Amino acid sequence: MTSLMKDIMPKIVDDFNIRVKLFNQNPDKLDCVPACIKSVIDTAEPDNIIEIESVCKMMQTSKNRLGTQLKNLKNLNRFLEKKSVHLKFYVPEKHELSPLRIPALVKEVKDTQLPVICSVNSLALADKRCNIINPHAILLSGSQDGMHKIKYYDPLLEGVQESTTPRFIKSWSDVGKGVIFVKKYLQDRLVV
Amino acid sequence: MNQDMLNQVSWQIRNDLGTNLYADNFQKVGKSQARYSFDLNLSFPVCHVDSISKQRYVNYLVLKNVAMGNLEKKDNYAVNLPKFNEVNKKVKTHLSALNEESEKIILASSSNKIAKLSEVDHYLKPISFIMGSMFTDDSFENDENIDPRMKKYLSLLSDLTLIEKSDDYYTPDKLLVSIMKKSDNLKEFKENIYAYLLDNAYETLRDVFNFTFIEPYIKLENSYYSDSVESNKLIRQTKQDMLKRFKIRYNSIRPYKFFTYLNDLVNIDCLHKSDSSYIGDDEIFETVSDKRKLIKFAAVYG
Repeated sequence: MTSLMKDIMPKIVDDFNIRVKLFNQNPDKLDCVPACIKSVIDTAEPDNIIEIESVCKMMQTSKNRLGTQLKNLKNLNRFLEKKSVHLKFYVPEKHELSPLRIPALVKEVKDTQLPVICSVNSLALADKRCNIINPHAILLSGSQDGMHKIKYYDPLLEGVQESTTPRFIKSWSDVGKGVIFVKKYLQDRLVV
Repeated sequence: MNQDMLNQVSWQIRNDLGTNLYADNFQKVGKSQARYSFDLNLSFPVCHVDSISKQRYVNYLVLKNVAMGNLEKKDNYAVNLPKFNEVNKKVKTHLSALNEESEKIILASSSNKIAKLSEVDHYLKPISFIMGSMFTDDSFENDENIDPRMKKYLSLLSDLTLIEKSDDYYTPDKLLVSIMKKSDNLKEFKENIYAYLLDNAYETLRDVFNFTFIEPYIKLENSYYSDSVESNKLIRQTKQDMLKRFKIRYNSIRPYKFFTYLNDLVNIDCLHKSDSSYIGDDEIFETVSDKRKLIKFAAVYG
């Protein structure tokens, strides 16, 4: 591959068998949940172009600093259905996920080949400020070396980050624990 | 408080209000074990990019106590939260107040440099006349027929204990004498006086004497230094990036005006130019960083 081709190729990261297409977040608009959603759509349905602005509009995040109202996922799902995107984003009935379930969650991510959007403390900065609560959405995309390392996509830091399981659990148990799951449909049939 | 309660509150906040808010400072209401009130704090990311190195600096701005909620244990946990629009409005008010505080800090940190703008001397000509007379003659004549505007300036200088009024003359007060001693020449003396006025009487100058022309300079400086403080580092920005950042923080501005203000700020060393980019002044940056930590209702964590 020539260097020119490398430049124009979409930024794809191999992460086990999950290929996350990175969405480059505009520093002026740091809505991490819509950025994660956009990345999931790009990854799962690369031919279906859904603009980040549309996602933000559906989630009503563009005009405030409060982040994303999760109840607006309903609006987003209706919008995606109209655009023939075979994905549905939802917060499960049992909305809080115990840290003990993280290994199962990662396995699920690998099995379904769909990343999961997690709301956690800011992982990248967790070492320095574990007592400070900064809710932040990341994309859990897989693991390496069994469960010792977890890979996640951080839309703020524009890229794939690595965390160890204990560190991830710490960030998880401090504040976040929110999770948005993704269902994938194939010709109107639920496959995941 | 138990974990179920916290989970319920946390989920309700994310569902109804947004993912950047969190509950803090739970307090029992009355003697009942079943009612709690809590503060709603907001933590949202800010990101600034160095125009030259393209390095991104991510930080979180925390606004404390933007609203309140409460929790009641009946059959289940009932979480009462304010309406989304109400919280959003309060956040805007907080941010606006933070910006105003930040502008005051900028003015206090760079008043000695702003005072060197030639327009300051132009707009404060009456003070220039008074100070010229004080510097050369140690007095200024108290003429009854002097115009009312000049009288207002004399009154302001008296209120600030810079000058003293006697029957026929105004004479320098101790403070003015000390400033005079520190100044090598008349130009420097006047600039020191202007800086003192900007530090201690800017609101009066603005509201009574309509001295508003420095506002765009303060806003431009605030736009740049706020970005740098939030990045914990002086960042380099091209003039186009600076204009873009300015428009995000403030309303639109005509580019030719913006670039003129920018050049003026470079001329008085509030900002420095290096090739195609601009960088802030170390001294101003340190002062602004230190003073912003003292703003009580908001904190930037680095």
